[in-house]
Amino acid sequence: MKKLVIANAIIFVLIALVTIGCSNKGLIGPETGDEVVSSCVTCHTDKALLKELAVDVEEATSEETTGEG
Amino acid sequence: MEAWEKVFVKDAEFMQSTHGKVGCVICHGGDSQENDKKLAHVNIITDPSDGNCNTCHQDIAQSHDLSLHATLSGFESALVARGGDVSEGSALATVMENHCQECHTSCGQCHVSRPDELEGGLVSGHTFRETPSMQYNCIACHGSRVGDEYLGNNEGIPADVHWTQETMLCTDCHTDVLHGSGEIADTRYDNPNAAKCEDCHQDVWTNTEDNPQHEQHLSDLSCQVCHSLSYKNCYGCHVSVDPEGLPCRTSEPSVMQFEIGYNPLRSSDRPYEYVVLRHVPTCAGTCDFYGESLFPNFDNVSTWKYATPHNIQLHTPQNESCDACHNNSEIFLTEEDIRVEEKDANQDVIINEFPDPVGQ
Repeated sequence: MKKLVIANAIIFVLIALVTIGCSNKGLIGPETGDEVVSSCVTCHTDKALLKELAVDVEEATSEETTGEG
Repeated sequence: MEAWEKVFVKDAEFMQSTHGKVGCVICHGGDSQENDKKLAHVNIITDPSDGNCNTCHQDIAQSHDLSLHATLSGFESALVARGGDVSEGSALATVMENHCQECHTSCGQCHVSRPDELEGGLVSGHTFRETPSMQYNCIACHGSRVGDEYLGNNEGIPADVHWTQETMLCTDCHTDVLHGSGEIADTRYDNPNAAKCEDCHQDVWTNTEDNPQHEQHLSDLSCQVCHSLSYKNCYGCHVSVDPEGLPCRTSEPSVMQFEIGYNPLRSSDRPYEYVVLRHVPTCAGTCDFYGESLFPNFDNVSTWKYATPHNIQLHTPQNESCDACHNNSEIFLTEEDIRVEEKDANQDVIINEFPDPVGQ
C-alpha cells in the first residue's frame, strides 16, 4: 500500500511537471525566459564580438548605374 | 555604416520594451538556442515587418499597405497613364520589379532601420522610433531632390526657412500622410492629409489686408510660385540590365531651374492656376531596353509635374516686386524650354501668355 502511495505521488508530480512545461508553449514574450536569455541577445549586444564576427553582405549592384536617383 | 554597427543592439533596455519582450525569433526566425553563428542564422529574416506589424498595429499597417510607400502605385499609375501595359508578365511589369520595387518601404525601414536601398542598419539600436529619423530614413530616400533643397545642399541656393529658422523635421509637416489615406493613390498629392502650407499659416488666408500680393494671388498661385527658389530637374533616365544581369540606370546631369506653368493637378484642394513645375527623369525612351513603344500614349502626361520645392524663403527674386515676376519670361515654362520630343506632352502646362507688366 505504501509503495502504491509513493508511486501515485511520483506519477502526480510528473504529470504536474509536464503540464507546467506545456502551459507556456505558444506564449509570446519573456514569460518563457527563452528569448531574452538567448544567443541572439548575447551576441547582438556585445560590440567587441560583433566587430569580430560581423561580415558585410555586399548587395549586388550594377557598376553601370550613373546619375542621381 | 560598418557591418557590426548595423546589427548592434546598443540599447540593452530594448529587451525590456514591449517589442523586445516579444523575443527575437518570433519576428526574425533563426535559432536562438544555437551558439554557432551560421546555424543560428538559418532562415533569418532581417526585415520582418512586412506582415508582422499588423498583429498589434492593425489600422496603421492596413493603411500603410495601401500607401505609396508600400505599393509604389505612383510609378504604376504614371506608366499606365502613358498607355503602358503593366499586366503580369509584361515588359513593364519586369521594369517595375527591377527598378521600382527598390523604393518599397516596410514599417521597419522607417521605424527601426535604415532603408534597404541604403543597405539597412539599425538606426538607434533596436529601438522602435515612433518618429523616423530625418537623416537616416526620410532623406535617405528623398535626398537628391527634396533633402538637398531643404538642407541647402544645392550650391548657391539657401536652405528652407523651416529648417534654418525652426529646425523643423519632415514629420512636423508630413504627419498622417506617410501611412497613406487608406486608399490607393496615384500621386503624393492624392491624399486629404497631404501637408499644406495653410495647416500652419492660416493667417495668410484670413488676414490679407496688409499684404496686397496675398490679397491678389492667394487663389491663383501656389505658395511655391512666390516663395521657392530654383530646384533640381532631372532628364533622360534610361533603365536596363547590365551584362552581369543586374538592373542599372543612367541619367543626364540634373539642372537647377525654376519654372512656373499651368497646374496639371487642379482640384478643390489645389485650385491654383499657376504652380511651379519640376521635370521628371522620364522620357519616351526610358524603358526602351525592355521593348519598343512601351508608352504608346506617352504624350498623355506632361513631363513637367506639379512640384512643391522644399527651399521656401520669405523673400525670393520673383517676389521682390510685381514686375520681377510679371515681366520676367525667364521664370515661366514656355515652348522654348521644352525638348522637341516632349512638346506635345506638355502643351497643357506651358505658358503661352505672360502676365502683363504692372510697372512696379
